[in-house]
Order: sequence, then C-alpha cells, then structure tokens
Amino acid sequence: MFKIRNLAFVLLLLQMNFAQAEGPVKGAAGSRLKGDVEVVLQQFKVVVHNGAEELKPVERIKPGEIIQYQATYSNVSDHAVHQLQANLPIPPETEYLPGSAKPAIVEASTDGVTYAAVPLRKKVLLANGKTEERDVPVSEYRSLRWAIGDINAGQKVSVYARIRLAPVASAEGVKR
Amino acid sequence: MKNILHTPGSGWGSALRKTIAVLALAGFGTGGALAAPLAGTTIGNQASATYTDASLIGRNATSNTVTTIVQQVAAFTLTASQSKSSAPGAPISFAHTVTNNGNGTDSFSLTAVVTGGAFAVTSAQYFIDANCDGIADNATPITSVNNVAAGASACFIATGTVPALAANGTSGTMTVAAASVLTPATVGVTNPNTDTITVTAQAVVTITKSISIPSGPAGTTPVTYTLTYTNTGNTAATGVILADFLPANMAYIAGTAKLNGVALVDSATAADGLTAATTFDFGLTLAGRATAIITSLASGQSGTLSFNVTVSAAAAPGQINNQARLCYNDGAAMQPVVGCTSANTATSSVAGSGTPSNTATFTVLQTAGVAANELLANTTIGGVSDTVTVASASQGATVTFNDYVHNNGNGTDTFNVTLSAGSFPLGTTFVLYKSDGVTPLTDTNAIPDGVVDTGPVAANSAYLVVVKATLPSGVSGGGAYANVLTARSSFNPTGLIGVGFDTVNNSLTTITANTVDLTTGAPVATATVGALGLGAGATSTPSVLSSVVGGVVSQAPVVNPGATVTYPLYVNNTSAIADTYAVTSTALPAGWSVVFVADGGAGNCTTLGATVTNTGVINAGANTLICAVVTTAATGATAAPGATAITFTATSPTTAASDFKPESVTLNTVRSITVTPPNNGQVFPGGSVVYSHTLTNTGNVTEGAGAAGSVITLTDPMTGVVAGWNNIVYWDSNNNGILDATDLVVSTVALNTLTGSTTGGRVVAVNGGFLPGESIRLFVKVLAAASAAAGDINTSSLTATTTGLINTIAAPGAVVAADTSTVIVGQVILAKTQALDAACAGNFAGAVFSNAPIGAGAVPGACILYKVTATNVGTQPVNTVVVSDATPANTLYKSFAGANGVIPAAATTVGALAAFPVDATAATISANLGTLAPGASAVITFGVQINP
Repeated sequence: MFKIRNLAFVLLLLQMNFAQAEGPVKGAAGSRLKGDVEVVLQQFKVVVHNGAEELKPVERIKPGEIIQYQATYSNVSDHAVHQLQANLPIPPETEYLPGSAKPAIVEASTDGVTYAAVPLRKKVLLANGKTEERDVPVSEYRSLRWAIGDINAGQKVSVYARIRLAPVASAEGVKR
Repeated sequence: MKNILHTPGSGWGSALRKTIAVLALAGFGTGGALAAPLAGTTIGNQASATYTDASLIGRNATSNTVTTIVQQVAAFTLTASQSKSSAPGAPISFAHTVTNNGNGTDSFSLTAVVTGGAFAVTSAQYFIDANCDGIADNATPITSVNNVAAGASACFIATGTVPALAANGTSGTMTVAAASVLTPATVGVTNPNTDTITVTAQAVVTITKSISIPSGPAGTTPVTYTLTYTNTGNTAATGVILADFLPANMAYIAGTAKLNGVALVDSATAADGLTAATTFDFGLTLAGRATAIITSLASGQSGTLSFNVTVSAAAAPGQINNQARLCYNDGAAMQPVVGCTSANTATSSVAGSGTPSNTATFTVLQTAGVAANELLANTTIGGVSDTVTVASASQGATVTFNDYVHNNGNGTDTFNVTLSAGSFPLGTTFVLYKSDGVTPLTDTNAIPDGVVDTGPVAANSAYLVVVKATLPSGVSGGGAYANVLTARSSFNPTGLIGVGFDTVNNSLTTITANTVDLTTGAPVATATVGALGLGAGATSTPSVLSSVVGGVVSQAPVVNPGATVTYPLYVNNTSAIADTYAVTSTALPAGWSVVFVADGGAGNCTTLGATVTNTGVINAGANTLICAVVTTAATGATAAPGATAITFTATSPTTAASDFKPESVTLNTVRSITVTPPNNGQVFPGGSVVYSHTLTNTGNVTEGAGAAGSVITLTDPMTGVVAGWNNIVYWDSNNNGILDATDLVVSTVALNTLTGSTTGGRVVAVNGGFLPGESIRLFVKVLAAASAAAGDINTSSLTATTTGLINTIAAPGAVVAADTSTVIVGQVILAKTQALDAACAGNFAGAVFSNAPIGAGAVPGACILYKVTATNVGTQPVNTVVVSDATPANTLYKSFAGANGVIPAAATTVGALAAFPVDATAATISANLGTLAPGASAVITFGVQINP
C-alpha cells in the first residue's frame, strides 16, 4: 500500500513541476543556484475528508490548516555528492507538526543554526534555583535538517514534513 | 487537471490523522504559543542543502520558493459584564470592549440592548469610545463597531436611563451582544455581557481615567493621568478614596499631583487642597500607589485628580494599561461593599478593592535602530573601523566575511540585507548565509519583498550575517577589493542611518596567485631543489634526472635509439585551492614521441595506466603523478648519439598557474653493419652464378667514411671445393639491381676509397660513408671450375670488416653472408618474379611481373601474384622435375576462383600441380613438371594475400 501511494505521489509531482516551473522564483539571491544538486520544493494542503487524508494543491490556507512540504534533492551531476544535509525551514507564523517528518530521523533547530535531534530539549532554570531539562515547544522549531549523506549521480532523495498554521484564539461561536 | 490525491488507508500517519481529528474537535484549543497568521500573510518556504562535491569542497543548493496565502477567519470576544449603583432617573453607562480574535480586519454589529430585571432601562443606546477611556466620544448612536484590526480591540459605551420610579434596592439588567460582519452566520453572539443596575437612594460616585498622550516612544515624559470623579447620587459621599497603582514602566513625577488644578503636597498626612482633610501621596500609603482621600463629595459634585508620569526608556513596544480604583461611603456603607472599608486607606489594593475605573492605555511605539559593523562587541554605527578585512585569498577561493547586524531598536525587527556590486573582480559570486555559515539567508518577511533578511532579531541583540564571496579562478593580484553590506530595518525602512539602515564594508586586500610546482622523481615533500625541480621555474639543469628505463627507475637516462624513457612527473598543487593542470612537453625531434599516462599503481611509473590529457583535480597541497613516456627515434638523423633536451610544463587552464622542469635524454652510439642474405645456387661446370647482397648500416653513426675513423673492407674468401674456382664482388653502383658492365669491382677493397655515383637513384654515397640506415647492393659472381664435378660444393663468404673507433666505441665485428654453390650437370634455373594485385582480381595474364621490390601498395589485404619460371639451361634433359614454392610469411594462399580451386589460381604450363592448396592457408605449391628438355621452360603461377 505504501508503494502504491508513493507512485501516486510521483505522478502528482510531475504535474506540480510544470505548474511551478512557469512562475517566477523568489528567494535567496533571486534565483536557484546552479550546481550538482537541484532542489525542488512542493507544498500540499492536508485535509481530512470522510475520515481519509487528501493532499490538495495549496493556494490559500486558513488558520488551523495543515501544509505538507516535500523537498526533492536531485543529483544532476555526473558524480556522487557526499555529506548532503537537507534543510527545510519552518516558515514564520507556522508550527511543525510533531512526527510528520519523513525520514523520521530528523534534527530540528530553533534558530536555523544549531541543530539537535528531535524532540529538542532545553534546560530551564527553576524558581528554586535548580535546572531541569524540558521539551522545547514545537512552536519554537524554526528549521528541520536531515542527514542524507551520499546521493549518487542521477539519483534523487525526497524529504517530507508538515506544518500547521495556528488557529484563531477563540472557538467559533454558535449564533444564538 | 485536478490535483487532488486521495490517500486511503493507514501508512503515513494514521496517528497524525487522529491528531487532526482531535484537534478539529477541540478547535485546536490553545495548543501553540503562536498567534494565527494574519489574513493575506504569505507563508513562503525554501528548502536548501549543503553537501560536498567530488573534490570534497562544500557546496550549497537552494530550491524554488513555494508560497501560500492565509485566508481570513472570524472570531471575537466581548467584555465585560458589570454592575453599578444608580440613583432613580439617573443616566447609566457601561463601557464594553470587543476584541477581534480573528486574523483579519472585521466589523461587528451590535445587537439592540435587551433589558430585563425589576425595571426596564429606557433609551438604551450605543456610542463609540475610540480612545477607550470609558467615556462616549460623541452623541451619535451607533449600531456597529467597524474595521477592527486583527488582534485589536474597540470600545463602545452602552447607555440608558434608570426609570425615575424605580424602587430603591431593585435591579435591572442590560444585555449587550455583538456579531461578526464577516461571517455573521457562524460567528454570532458570543458570551453576551449582562450589565446590572441596582437602584439606591445613597450617594453614587463614578470614576473615569484619562491619559494626556495616548502613545509615544519609550521615554516619553511627562504623561498626565487624570482621574475624574462624580457623585451622581442624591446624598453626599464621604471618605472618597482614589487609588492608582502605576504599572511597570510608568514612574510618578514627584510634585506633579493636582486636585481640580491646584497643586498638592506629596504627603500622606498633610491636609492640602480645597478641602482641609484631603490628602495625596505616592508610595507612602502603599508602595507604588498614588492615593488620594477626599473627605466629602456633595451630591452632583465632581472633581479631578491629575498627576504626571514618565514612560521608561526601556519599555518594550506595546500597551501599558492602567486602572484607578475607587472606594467611598455612600452615606450608609462603604462602596463597593466587598473590599472597601473605611479603614482600608492603607491596605486596599488594585487587585481586589474598589470600583475600577475604565482602563487608560499608553501605547509604547516601536522604534528602529540598526548598526552594521565588524564586531559583535561594538554596537554603534561605524564600529571601530566599520570594515571586515581579509588579508588575502587564493584564486577561485571562497572568502568569508562576518558582518554583524545589531538591532538597537526597542523591539524585534527584521533586517533586509543587500550587497553593493563593489570592486570585486568580474565573476565573483556572493552568497549571504545565516550565522552558521552554511544555511543561505532567505526572504522571511511575512509579505515577501524579494530581499533576503536576517529574520526576526530581538531588541538589543546582534545577528551574524556570513558573506561568502567565491572569487573567479582566473584573476590574481590587484586589490583591495571591497563592497558594502547594507542592513535595512523592516520596521522603519526609510529611516536615516543608524535608525533605518547602516552599512559595513567588506574588503579583500589582495588575491594570491595560485602556484604549481612540477618535480621529477619525487613530490614536493621529498624533492630537492635543482635536481628534482623543487621550486618555481627552471630550478634544474637537465644533468641529473630521474626516469624509468626498462621498468627500472634510473637516474641516468642514456639509452639506445628507439628505446623508451619514462619520467615520473609530480604535479604539486602548492595553492590553497584545488586545481587541474595540463601537462605538455616541448616539441620533440622527428621520429620521437611523448605520451602522458597515469601511474599504473606502483607509484613510480614502473607500471603505467591509461593515457591522460590532464591531471584531473588536485586538491590543495596534494600532488598527482603523471608518467611522461618518451619514445626515441630508432633510425634516422634524429637517432644520432647525444643529448636531446625536453622541457615538461604543467599549466592550469583555469588559473594559469604554471611551472616547468627541464629534462633530457641521451642516445648511445650504436655501431652495426649487416650483409644479407646468404644464398644457395647451382652452377654448371665452367659456368657462373651471380648472388645479390645488401650491405646496410644499421647503427646510428656514419660508418665507412674513412677519415671519420671507420673503414669497411670487403673480402670474399672461398671454402669447400676451390681449385679452379674464382669469385668477384661488384658494387651495383648504378643501383639498378642487375650486374652490368658499369658496376665496379670491389673485391678486397676499402669502401671509402671508392668514388660514389648518383646514377639510377642510388641511395648511398659510399665515399662519404654510410649514414645511419643507408645501404648498398653488392653482387658476388662465382665462377665454377671447368673441371668441376657434379655435386662439388663451393662456399664464398662475402665479409665486411669494420675498423676504427667512433665516440670511443669499438667497431662492430665482421659480418658475413655465405653463398653456397653446388655443381650440377643438368641444370634447372628458377627465376621468380612478382606483381602487385591490389584488388585481388587474380589477373595473371594482365599482370606485369618483375623482380623489383614492390614499394607501394603492398598493404594488408592486397594480393601478390608470383610467377616461377623453371628453365633447363643444361645440355641434357632433366627428369622428374618438381618445383615447389611456399606462401611467404604474413601471407596466405589465395584461390581467386573460389573454394576448392574450381578455377585454380595456381597453374603450371608443363606437367600438373601436385595438389591444389586450400584457400587462405599457409601452403606449399608444388608442380610435377616431369622431364624438361634442354632449353625448355615451365611457368608456375600462384597468388597470395597479405594478411589483413
């Protein structure tokens, strides 16, 4: 079942590739850097419909909804690359959904600089002067990183993670 | 196209799906610390990677950016339900606040006031209270509160009039409700507020609080708080206590308190002001609290208490809210009943005692401040030098500049980072990285502006931007190269330097030229100056060498012509960055060649690998062994003894780094003479036979020139039956291959004494000696004795004897070609001629046969036709003659007619072939001629094909 679904992913991604190749690319340095490795990032909205998940293309999203990111790293050179680390930021104002990273072994960072295995832990100074190690709230995760290692020439590797937008502060009321 | 993917089953995250379901039911609760993103916010993301390439050089890659836009969701809260006392017939007002908890601007309709309880409040209306001071801004009723920004609040006042006949002690209610205009159907009335009015005959004192300046930067001073109190009851109030705890970041300014405009003394006990018993103090009655006690307040009387405060310069952006508290005796009891006593002057607190006033809010505005400089420790614009200087870098290297962006503002700010083009050489590429130096900066602004930024930087913090400049490979020297990094506040992008932006310079003093060192025999670590070429340029004369001859490493490449010499060339990359080099040599003499090959694995070129065109990538400080295989000329002028200089050069086509190493190879003096071939012949008694020979100089020095030291002398001694026999040696001086009258007799003569001739295209000038490779043709004519008997055998040994030293090398030994002559009576002579048949057509009839060498066209695959003529030159018939011939080496019998000789290629004019040879085999062609009469001839023909 997992393989079948993977196949479906691939078909979908091809379509998405076309759609995205036409648009302007914004971001660092204004354009994608040329090199041995090409990175393609895609996003899908995760919705639950009749008890089953669906991935839909996202153009607009509401607070409380979930986005799945898929970053695909393709080695387009004629030689292997090594020690590849895949970085996927958690956009501002969004929150990583714990357990959604694939591969599951992933590191996270609160500043995009220092990474550690999830769940992140931090030492907290208590009122009684003692320190205690506690989980860092996932809302403070700002970036994920996977240690991919080698990618042979012509091969590609994809990583996945989901984020959600914080919901609005109060429940939607019922008209009286 | 419908990009919907249904993913049934478990697999990826049934747990996750459960999470979603739970969260949906709970409305996501308050799970995260994050606020909902504003409607219209663009959620952008860009993945990146770091990796190392084949040269172990760190690289980066970034993806496209994906974005999605946040939509609006409505939500709000309404506060708060309140209770008040009122005299009958008096107007009543309640301040309410609607807070937009949605993520976009929304308006809220106000539901008409619903009254209830013991009496119905009349003339219920709403009024706007834009400054939230608890007092209606104007007299225009409203039915909605419009355009409330996400996260913001709006205040309004609900008013009404208590009926004049309302009985004391009874209570009425006003229910206040609102609905979202954006989605009224689903986000309707939420927690409606219920205001309760209790009618009393006693004094009713109200309090409102206002602020003179609603907003300003941190440090604003003075700001005046004014408390207005009014007795709307029907009797006088006594013991009115006004209490106001100042919030954090607000400090009382001593001596500024006024009651109804008259200055007060800061004393808990001193009576001052208009009423003898009125007192005011700050921090004395209770720490941090302004406390005023007004002894008596008549019905309908009102007053104001004002004092000034200073906003802390360290206040963070945001709202500073404050409420005053009121206690008073309404003539019957302290109000409010709970928390206020007549003796509580010293103890009542904001938190629990007294009736709160409206909230007075001061908004501390955010201010921007930025400094970009070279130090973390220096936070001022201009830094110390305001320049990050890197002294030098190699060609093609990546230079790192650490630029610190300090947020000197009072709130979190994001700084856009840009670089000027500057004076770096054309082809330099710049990438801006986060503080880790490996993750590229991205555009994190909520509304992307296409400019990379630092991301949010807390107030009074610094962010390290790592600038990496990758230099072009082809530029060196020059400098200083510089550009300017600008950090610009997102909060105040148009501010002046130090407020809205600041710059820092990045400077590279110079670019160090890449270098390479070409050494022979050993890499740089063990090579020596001079002999092995350590250092740049011509650091060696080509006298001491390290090379491989015959598979053995040698220091003295002195070899025979045609030998191969291999030079182990170490290309040492002495730069700080990886590079690739092409290895070349100077032009070599004709007949010489050089190829560059990889080492075969032994590490010293004693074994060889594949041919290479360049070194491949050599990392900084590393070296690569390239084997230069020089093949010397075997023959000709360029094979002469002596030294030949060869200079090897390694040059980077990318960075132009280059070094060379002179070498040489010395050829030995090789002396060699040959005389070929030995012959066998048959001679009739009294007859003669002529044998042809070739004398060749196969050495690499001129032989037989006489004065030069080499003399070649010919002799032709006979052995076997010699009585009556004679022989004569001729030089085919006209070089026509036939012994004729003009050919000189050279028996027992030194060749250098002859006078040469150029007749007939001869190849030798004998009197000048034999140049290397030159040859002459000699004929030996053997004359048999008339008395010779059949079966007598005579051997004439043509001997060339060389004498004299050349280059101290002794002459080669005498060389001999022996001609063996057998006496026969019946004498059959065989003559063999040949013709080229390039197309292998087998046209014997049309072929032109001769005994001349076939110079051109005898290529692999071509055919050669042979004709053997057997003639009985004797006086008697010859019986049972069998003529045999074999296919020469490197050829196979050719049956032109096809398989099995249906149309035989081989034929004889007399007798019959013994057998037809098989096509394409090495075969012997044999013909049984039977008897040949005196003077009769037989012709045998056949063909061969040169092996392809």
